[in-house]
Amino acid sequence: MTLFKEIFPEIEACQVLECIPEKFVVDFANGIDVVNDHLRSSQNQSFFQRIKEGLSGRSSVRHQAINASLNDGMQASLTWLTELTSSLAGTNLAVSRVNERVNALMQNTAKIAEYSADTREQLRELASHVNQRVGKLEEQLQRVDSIQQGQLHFDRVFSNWSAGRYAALPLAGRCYVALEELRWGAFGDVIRQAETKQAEQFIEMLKNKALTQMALDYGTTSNARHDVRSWLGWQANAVQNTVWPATINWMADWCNEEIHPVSWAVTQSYETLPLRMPRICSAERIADTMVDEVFSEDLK
Amino acid sequence: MNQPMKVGLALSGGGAIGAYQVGVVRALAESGTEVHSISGASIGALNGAILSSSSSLEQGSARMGDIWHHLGTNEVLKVNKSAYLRLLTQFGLSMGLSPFLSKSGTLISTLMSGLGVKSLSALQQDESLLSDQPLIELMNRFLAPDALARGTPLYASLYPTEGGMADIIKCALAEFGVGKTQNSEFQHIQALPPAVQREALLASAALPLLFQSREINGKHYSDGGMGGWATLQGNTPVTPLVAAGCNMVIVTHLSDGSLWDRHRFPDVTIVEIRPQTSLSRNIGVLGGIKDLLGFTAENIDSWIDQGYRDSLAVMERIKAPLRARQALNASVTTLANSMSQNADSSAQLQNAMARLK
Repeated sequence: MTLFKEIFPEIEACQVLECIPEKFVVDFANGIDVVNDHLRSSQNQSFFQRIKEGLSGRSSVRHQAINASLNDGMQASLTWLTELTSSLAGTNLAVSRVNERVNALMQNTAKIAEYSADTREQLRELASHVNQRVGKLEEQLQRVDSIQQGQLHFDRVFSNWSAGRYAALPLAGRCYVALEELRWGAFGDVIRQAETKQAEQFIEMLKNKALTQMALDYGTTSNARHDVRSWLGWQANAVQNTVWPATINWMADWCNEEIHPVSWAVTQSYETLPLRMPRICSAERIADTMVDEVFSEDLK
Repeated sequence: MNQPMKVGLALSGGGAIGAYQVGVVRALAESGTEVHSISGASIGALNGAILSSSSSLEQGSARMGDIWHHLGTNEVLKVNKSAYLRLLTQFGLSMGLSPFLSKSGTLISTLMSGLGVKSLSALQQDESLLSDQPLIELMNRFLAPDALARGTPLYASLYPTEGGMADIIKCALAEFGVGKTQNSEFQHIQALPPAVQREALLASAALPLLFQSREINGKHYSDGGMGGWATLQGNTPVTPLVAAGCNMVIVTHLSDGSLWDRHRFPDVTIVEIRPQTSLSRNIGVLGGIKDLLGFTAENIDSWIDQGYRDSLAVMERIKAPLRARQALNASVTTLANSMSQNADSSAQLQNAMARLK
């Protein structure tokens, strides 16, 4: 171990590097002890010692030694002060650089924060937009599904009609029953929920299908006119054996003789026809009018 | 700054005040100091020999303590001290001609011989008073020649005598600043044959028994403390340590207000262990001489304690600014590294920010 290590016990590098301490620092610090020794020695001298030192020149030598040590101290102070000032200048420069970088960091942080806020706003807008789009897609899907269901319902009802399920009813009664079933089912939902144009398209399709099926059941063409009673007349056995007349009468209790003459004639009293009911009519006339009467409320 | 440190220890001469060096060595040992070379003058040469032949400063400090305890409690030097005092009183040579025991002793001896003083001549022939035998016995008891030969390089200060009268006149003139003594020579003890090593130490030893010059390699030497009187070249033997390549020298002074000047060695880092309070233990006209011959247990213990405390005080005074400078330098390096990393981080941030734009 060396003195230097003892001087810097806590600095690891000094335990490894056996280097000498800086001379000017040692001279500076140790010079204080030298000066103190000379001053104390001078102060404690007897009269004869002072005379002898004065005569021998030792007094002058001692003062020179004191001055030399003081000069060492001043030189060391200057050196140290210069180094310290340089170091301080470097430190200040470093601090200013750090400050500049801190400022830049703060500015960048602000930019990032703004960017983050903007991004969040954009994300929010995007989420809203996506939600709207998804909502619309859902609506469209529901609509497509509804249309699909309505179409299936439409096909099923006319499948029943064409299969003869309503054969016990009068020709016009078959149309009324089919229209009522469609109105209260998925097809009716499509008519009520769809856009007007689309609903009108469905209504048009319904009219076409109904008049075609009625004409087919009658064995005539769609625009061939026949006695109205041939459209309204029940099969003789059907009236006695079924509850159809009472059922359709109850189902159509909403209709009015003046406003819904075709429906009224078909469901309420085909023996006493309303004044507005044509006595001779085609399948087209009966189907178109009945569709309008049944779905009149839904198309408003 | 990164130069490997080679430490030298210069032990000045000063008679009984040489006990002060026991305290100095103890403080150095406790601080973990490693000494690569030693030089000594007078009593410093004897202390140096003990230290050189020891395996460490700790052991050297302990052995020096034993010797000085022996000097303070035994009668080995009693007769010689009283005779010396008697002579000094008789011849009025306690006028402060020299602060050093060995110098004074040599001066006294030479002066008395030169003046042909009958009583002094009688004393000189008195083996019990002026014989070197007590010192030789002391050295035989405490100094192992083999250990000295293998020990830390030791340099002894030797004054090439020109004859008793010439030496005393030169010293007296130098003391009053009107002349000078020639420089002392520094002998590397381990370079001498074993038998001559003891002669060299006796020649340089500052104990009051040593009045006679010694012949080494055909040349007569006496107390090394006389050399370079004005600058204390011989009594404070730093020159051989610098010549041996020491770049840091610890100098012990055994007098108040020593005029030895560190500026004569501008290329060497020097730590002077100077007394923080007076080394004097006696007052009056003969106070200085009594101090020099004061081989009493009380004086020796006080000087040992003072040397120890002064050394700690000096090292503590140096330690604080050196530690502060070292910390400053370390902080500057750390700051530079930190700033470098800071610049890299800043550049990375700028690049990242550029990507955001």
